[in-house]
Formats: sequence, structure tokens, C-alpha cells
Amino acid sequence: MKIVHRNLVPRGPGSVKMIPEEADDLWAAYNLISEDDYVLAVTVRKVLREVASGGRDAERVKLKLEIKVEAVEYDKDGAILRIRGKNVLENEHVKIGAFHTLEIELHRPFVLRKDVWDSMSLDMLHQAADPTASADLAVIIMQEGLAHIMLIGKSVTLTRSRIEVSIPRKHGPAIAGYETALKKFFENVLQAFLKHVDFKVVRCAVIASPGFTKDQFHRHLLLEAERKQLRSIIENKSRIVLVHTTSGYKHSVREVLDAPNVMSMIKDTKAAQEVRALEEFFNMLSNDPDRACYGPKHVEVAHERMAIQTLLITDELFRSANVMTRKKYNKFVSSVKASGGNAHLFSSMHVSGEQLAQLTGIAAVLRFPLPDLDDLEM
Amino acid sequence: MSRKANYGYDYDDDYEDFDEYEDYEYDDDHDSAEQGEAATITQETVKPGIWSCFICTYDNHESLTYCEICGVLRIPPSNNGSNIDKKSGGTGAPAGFTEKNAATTAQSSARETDGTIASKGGSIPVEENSFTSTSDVFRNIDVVECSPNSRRSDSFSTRKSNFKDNVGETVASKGRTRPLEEKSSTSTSDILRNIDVVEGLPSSGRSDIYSTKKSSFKDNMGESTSFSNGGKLESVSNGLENMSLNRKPESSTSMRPKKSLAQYKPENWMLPVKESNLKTQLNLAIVGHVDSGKSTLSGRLLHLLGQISQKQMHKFEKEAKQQGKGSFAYAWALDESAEERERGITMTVAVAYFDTKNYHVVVLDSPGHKDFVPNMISGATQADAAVLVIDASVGAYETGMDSAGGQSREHAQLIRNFGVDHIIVAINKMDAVAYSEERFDLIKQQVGSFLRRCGFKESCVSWIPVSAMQNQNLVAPASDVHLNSWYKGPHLLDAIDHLQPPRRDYEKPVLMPICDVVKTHAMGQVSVCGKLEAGALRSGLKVLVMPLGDVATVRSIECNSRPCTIARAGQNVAVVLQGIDLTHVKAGGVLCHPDFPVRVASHLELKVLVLDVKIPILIGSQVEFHIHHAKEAARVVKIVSLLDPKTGKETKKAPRHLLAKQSAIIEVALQGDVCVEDFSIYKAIGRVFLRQSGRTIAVGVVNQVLEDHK
Repeated sequence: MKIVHRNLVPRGPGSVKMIPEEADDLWAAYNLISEDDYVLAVTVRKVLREVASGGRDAERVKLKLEIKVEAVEYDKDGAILRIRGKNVLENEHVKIGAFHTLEIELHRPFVLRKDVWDSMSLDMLHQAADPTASADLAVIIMQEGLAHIMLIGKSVTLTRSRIEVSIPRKHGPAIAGYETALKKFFENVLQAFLKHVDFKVVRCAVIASPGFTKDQFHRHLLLEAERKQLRSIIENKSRIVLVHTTSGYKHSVREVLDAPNVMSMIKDTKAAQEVRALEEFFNMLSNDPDRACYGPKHVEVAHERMAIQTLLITDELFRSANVMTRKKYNKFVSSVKASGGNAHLFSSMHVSGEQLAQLTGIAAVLRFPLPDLDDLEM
Repeated sequence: MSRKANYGYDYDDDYEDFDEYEDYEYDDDHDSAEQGEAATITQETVKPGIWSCFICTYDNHESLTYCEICGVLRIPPSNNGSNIDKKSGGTGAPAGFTEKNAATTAQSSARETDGTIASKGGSIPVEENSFTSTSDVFRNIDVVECSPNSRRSDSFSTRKSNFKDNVGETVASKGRTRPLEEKSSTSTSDILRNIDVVEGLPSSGRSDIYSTKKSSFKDNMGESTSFSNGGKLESVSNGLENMSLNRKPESSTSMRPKKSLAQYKPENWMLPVKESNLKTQLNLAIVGHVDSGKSTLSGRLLHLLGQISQKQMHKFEKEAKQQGKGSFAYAWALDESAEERERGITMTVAVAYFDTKNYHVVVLDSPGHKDFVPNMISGATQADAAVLVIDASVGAYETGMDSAGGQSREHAQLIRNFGVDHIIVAINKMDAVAYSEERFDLIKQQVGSFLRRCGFKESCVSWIPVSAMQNQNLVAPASDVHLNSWYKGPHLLDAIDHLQPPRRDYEKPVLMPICDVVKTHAMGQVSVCGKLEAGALRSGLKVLVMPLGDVATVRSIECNSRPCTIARAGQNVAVVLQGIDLTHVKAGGVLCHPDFPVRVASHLELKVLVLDVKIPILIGSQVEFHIHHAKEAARVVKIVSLLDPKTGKETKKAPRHLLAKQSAIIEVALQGDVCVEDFSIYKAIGRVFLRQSGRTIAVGVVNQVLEDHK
């Protein structure tokens, strides 16, 4: 995210002009824009005009509109943010109060005006503008017959491609069928790899799989690159890392981010921090279940007793349409921080965030055991 | 002919609709029909709510007051609304009265059928009034079924057997019945006109015809032509309101109502012949920790039993030596892919065959490496019995039994949950410990107590010290003096031979989880491999390929690379299917009876036993879900309750997490659909395995399918 200019008072009103530069930024904007904020952007609107002859003429007019936000929608695949609301800027074509939907695409500047820039949104803005926090990893996670190609950014994991091929098992003379099927599968993955992985953007590409599939594919990749003179691969040979995972499903991305050789590369990125925090939580849960809790009620009670050391919370909770709940969680996070705890805001577009979301979206590692939490109704 | 094919499909569909009403009665009807008595008339029958249009003879639903086809008003108007979809109890009408009606029916139908026969140029004598409507209808069918010239004997029972014969000789009757299909519909309408005549009378006479027809058709079920032939009749006669002749077959399969298993009747050919001298097939999984010598043991057995020729063996030995892996020569018989040979480990389950005195054994040589446990699960779920190979050498045994990640342990737990009761523990590499008895006893004691905890009965476990490399105690008693001095038990082959024969579900409708799909070169054909879990298959049979629900025809069946005519439950076969797209058949799918489709779901309630896990299972835990040959990513959506491991009673509701060794009821949501059935209905496709980060965290069964996918 590029911040063009900002004019705001912390915990007060103000506006920020920004330009989203990658898919991640749109996600950040999506989380930043909440109901009743104002967004100003250039847009195109079909305008109906009465013609002298009595007929009507439709014309597409490019104009600048500011709308009061009523709903925000994030399109992951199209990399588009749709903001629906009522117009507040007087215009010769559009009346005040007329509904309009702004489409924010990459590289399109917009101005966000909020009545209150709270600490959470400032944090988010700060993070979005920080280029070093981005992981920018391409991950090919595969097992025999199944592969996912994913791009991991700051706060978004995008599944770019999913390849599924049925591979027959070995059967005496039919062994050739197995080999051709495997080869075809690798070829498909290779094509997808070339299409989606741009070494100018990603720091490194990780090939992950259980067993030897990754080695087989790696070999295939290099051989093919040699044969077809694929420069992008030959030049970036050293940036391809192999990691062992236990399956080829998407949730094994966690293991990829956790692997020491990948971890060293993405140590201080947000994605890695999230993974580590979640890992810590799970470890605590298995070793000392009384010192870990999840679910809003349990976490709240734990906080009342000042027991929270690390709070894990997904951005989904902040996005809730209800202003009251949003404020509540906002306050919650700042009060945890005030009492000396850590708070990790998980992106629900990452695997770790997805997993946290399934654990009700909020969890905490406690300072001291609270065995009586179990007795509380969830 | 495409139109005819449509008829066939439609028939399938309607046939079941009809059956829904008739299911209970069917047995009775069948019996009495067999006795050749007119007693059927007084049988309690079910009358589907239909009325026949007197202009076009179309069967309309009871609730309609005009004909759906020609728009003619119904005469007389519906006044017996109470009859809709209800059974008209046998007590509803006095027997005498019914008989009278029946006689009337008989007369009129005799008249009508007469006409039909005449039009066919047949020479069958006119029916006498003394005949009941039952026989009348039968005669009608008889004519259709056999040939116009076939002599109808007066005795009902002989006709009956006539039918049976027809069932047997598929091809013959096919040829003859084909040209008659057109006519069969004419005769159908004749019957219907009969019904029309009786319309004004109480309904029992009418329903009678249904029931008898029903029983006769049931007999013909097995063969496709007479099937559709009869089906034409049936579909016209029952004609539920949603019947339309050009409905697509796809839609008919998806709308197919599910019947309860109790309704299924196996046909004679499906049941095994008792005195046949065919050996029972035994699916034997070879499992154990990595490098315990599973493939070598299997290879050695195959070689000793003459399944691998000397020449081949020589080739393996030479090649293995060239790669510097001389000791892997036997394993190469099973590890065929270049990758496996290069690395010297098995990666996928290999299938091989050999014969013992009592059994025809299918060896499922599974991979031991922990990364390939998913392959082991999907390849070896079909096992009836297992050989657990344990490496006796110092260090190797200990890692195999290590609770943190020993595959000897994991495999034992898995195969227990495959439904395997009998296990042979082959303690391999005894040569490495100088055939020491102490070592054998130590392993036996430790592994024994573990197996007991897994749920294996002591009497079902046999212990055999072997050495695959030195050929000790495999197919002949040990020759080594030291081993001989203390071990007096059976050798490995003997032990395999003395395994209890597994119980098979011959009586259930056909069910075969697809283990593997192989593309055949011939167009439009797909070959699928797997173990028939229930029922039987033979060429020409129609099967439903789930989860997509396409109908395919069995073209041929192969059993151990040899063609065979009939495959029954328990056999490991390759089935060549025709009339289905390759992309619609997937490993992990299921072949089943068109009338008894398995369920396809993505939301299940499971009863699980948590194994030794470090991280507890939480709500939201992401797991890999394995069921028969299918695997899918899943997550735990709900932990319903905690169960007492001994009594199975609920001890705690909605616990926060599940720890090791707890059993519980949980709900999981899968990312994709799988073919599944409650464990109580079909054991083979009701067993599940949950894995996480490369370890099996829980094993269990499907308690309940929560949501069906349409």
C-alpha cells in the first residue's frame, strides 16, 4: 500500500489517501473500511439523459464520487474491492443520497475518511504500508496426484491453482501407466508454476510434499527448464526450496511456514509470526490445557482475571457489521495490551487464521492456569 | 434403439416407485405364486393411487380429475380418495367378493388378451373363465416373455419355472424378446383396459393384478432385456404421476429413491455354490515398520511358491546388484517403479497372488515409511487378514514400536480398524539376532500386550519367527539348527493357510469401493480395480458408479489377470466398465447396485477412538480423512460427547478437546464428498481414519451420515 498523504488525528477524525499495489493491500483496505466511513474515488457511472426528441440516452460518465459506506465486499480472485453506499458529494450527474458502488482495483487511488481513527485501524494502516512485513512466498504443496500452488503475501494466502490427477497404482505390467500419469501430473504442475510464480515478486518458491514427490518434481522442473530453456527457472534455481510436509492438502502450508529453512527467510513477516503464535497456543493446549483457552466467553473471563499473556484474534471479528461488537473487540485488544499482554491479529486469509477462525476466532495463552474455565458453558 | 434404452431407464425408476408401495407384500406374493394358487387374490395388496384414462389408457394420479395426456374428464369422478397410496387391507373385502371380482377381471382380461394373441398370430387357446386373473396376467406375460409359439402349460407352477429358465439364459431370451417389446406395450394397454372395465368395482381385484404382475416381474429382474420388457408393462401399469418417457437417465438416477436393504433379494447366481472346489480368496495385507522386510518377505514367498520364474528372479538379482542393492532383489518383485527401486522402499501398495492349500491369497504389500501411510490406508483397507512383520534386529525393533512414530504400532492400530481380526506376527530377520529365543520371547511379550490393547484377541494372533533373507520357516519348517531347537510351531505358509475364512456379505446388494482406475485402450471402456465387499458381479450387469451416480455396464471381469464370469464378495477383481466416461470414475468411488446407491455426503458424525496424540483434537482441528480408498481434507466441527471406553456410555457432553485414548462422538465436515454409509449398514465403507501432521490421530466408524448430497 502506498500512502499518498494523510491528514488525521489519532483517535479522531481524518482522511488518508492511498493506492493499493498488490492483492494484499486490497485485503488490508477491506479490513480498514468499515460501515459509515467515507470513501472517495474516481468511478464510472451510467447516466441517463433526456434527449430533445423525448427519448433517453445512456452515457457512461467518469466522475469522482464520495460515498458513505454501507457494505464492503472483497473479491479474492478478481482482486477487486466493491464498496456500496450512498453518494455524499454533490455532482451534476448523481444526486446526493443516490446509491453507488465503487470498485477499487489495484493501482487506483482512493481516499478513506473516518470519523474516528482508532488504534486498531492505525495499526492496520501502518502494517499495510510496511513493505518488509510481506512474506511473498510461492508454495507448491503437493502429493502424488494433488497439487496446490499458493502465493503467500502479508496477510493473504491466495490459492492460484489446484491440480488434481488420478494416478493409477502400480499393477504389474501397467506400471508404465503409472509413470506416464505421474509425468503428466508433473507437466501440469509445471505449467501452472510457470504461469503463476513470478520470481520478480516472490522471495522464494517452496516445493513441499510428503515422501519423494517434491524431489521428483524438483528434478523434473530443472530438467524441463534445461530442455525448454526456461530462463526464469534456471536463473532462480537457488531460490527454490524443498520442504517436507505430511500431506498435500492446503492446511499443510502451516508446516511449510514452520520449516526451519523457510522460517529463516520469512522470520519477521506477519505470516510467520502468526504461525508461531498459533503453534505456541497448540503446544500449550496439549502440555498444559488449563493455561490455554478459546471461545469469546472463556477468553473474556480469562481477561477479567488478568490472565491473558498472548491473545490470538482474527480480523474477521473486527469486520463484523455491528459497530458495537467491533468496538468491544477493539477495546478488548487494547486493554489486553495495556495489561502487558501480546495481541496477534490474524488474517483470516492465511491458513493459520483460517484455523483460528475455526476455533471461534479468538484464543488465548494464559499466564497462570485457570482450571475452572472448563466448567463454564461455552 | 436409443428410445428403447430410455424405456429401460425409465423403467428402473418407476419400478422402484412401485416397489415402495409393494415391498412388504412382495414376499408373500412371491411365495403364493410359487405354489400356483389363486390365493394371491386374497393377499393383502397395495394399490397405487392411479386411475387409467379410458381414452388413452394413460395412468393418472388419483388426485387428478382429468387425464394428463388427453385431458378427458375422469369417469367416474374420484370418490375413493381414501385409497390413495394406502394399502387396501386384505380384510377390506370379503374373500368371496374378491374372488368374484377376480373372475370378472379374468373374463374380461381373457377377452382382451385373446385379441392380443390373435394379433400376434399366436396359437394359444382362449383362457377359460375358471382361470383366475392371476394366471391370466401371467399368461399374458408368458407370451411376452417367451415367444409367441411357446406352449403355455396349464399348470401354473411349470410356467413359473419357465420364467426361471428365462432368467438363467440371458442371451437366448434376449434375442427372442427384443422384437416383442413393441407388442408388450400393446398387451399392456390391454390389461389396462381390463382394469378400466373393473374400474367401477371395488379396487381389490385391480390391485390383485398389480401384485401378481409384480411377483412375476421380480423374477425377471436379473436380465436386462426382459427387465426392460417387463418394465414397460410395469411402468405403464403403475404410472405414477411423475412418469415421463423421455426423462434423461441422469436425472432418473439422481432422483432414485433409496430402498432399505431388507428389500434386497439376491439372485441364485450371486450366491456361492457350496460344493465348488474353488479356493476362497483371502486378502492378506503385509504391514510393518519401514525396512522390516515386508517386500522381501512377500517377494520370497512368491518366489518359493513359483509365482516368479527363475529367469525373472535372476534378472532382479542382477539389476539389484548393479545398483548396489543386492539384498533388495526379492523386494524388486513387488517394488516395480523406478523410484521405489532407486530408494529401496515401497511407496504404494503392491498386489500379488499366490495359492495355498485352502486359499487363493492376494498379497497387499504395503509401504512402511511414515510418509506413505496414506497410501497404505487407501491400498490395504480391503485386507481380511494381515501379517505384521517385525524386525527382530537390535534397534530396529525398538524404533518400530516407538510410541512417538513407530509404524509397527500405527499399522497394527490401522489394520485393526480395517476390520482385521486375525493377525500373524512374523518376526523377521531372526538371523540378525542368531535365532535367539530370548529375543523372540521379549518381542512376543511386548508386542503381544500392545496388540491386546489394540483389541486383537489372543487366540487370533499367531507368532512366527522367520528369516526372509535366509529362507527360514517360510514355506517349510526351519532348517537352522538353532531355530529348530526351540521353535516347534507352524511355518509362515502354514499359518496363513490356517487363518479363519473371512465372512462375506453375499446376500447384500453389490458394492465395490474403487481402489484404482486404469485406462484401457479400447474406446469407451474403463477398468476399475478393487475388492468386492458385498454381492456379486457378472458381465452385462448394470452398476451405479458413485459418487457421480452414472450408470455403467459391466463388460468383463478379471480376477488375478485372468478373465472370469462371476465375481463374488471378497474377491479382488478388475472390472471393465462400458458406457461411462473415464473422468466420471475415480479411485475412492464406489460401484453399487443401481437400486441401492450408497450415500454421498460431506458431513458425518463419527465415533472415534483417539490414538496416542500429542496435540489434542479440538473443534476446528484440520485433519486428513480416510475412508475406504478415498481421502479428503476435513475439519472437526463439533465434539458431541465423550464416551466411556469400556461401556460406550456418554460421560461428558461437548468437551473442549479430546486427549489421547479417549473415545468420543465427533462431527466432521469434509472438503469434498465421499461415498459413505453408516457402519451399522456397511462395515466396509463405514470405517474412517483421521490423520494429522503425518500421524494417525484417531480411528473410528461412521455413526451417522448427517447430510446427503443430491
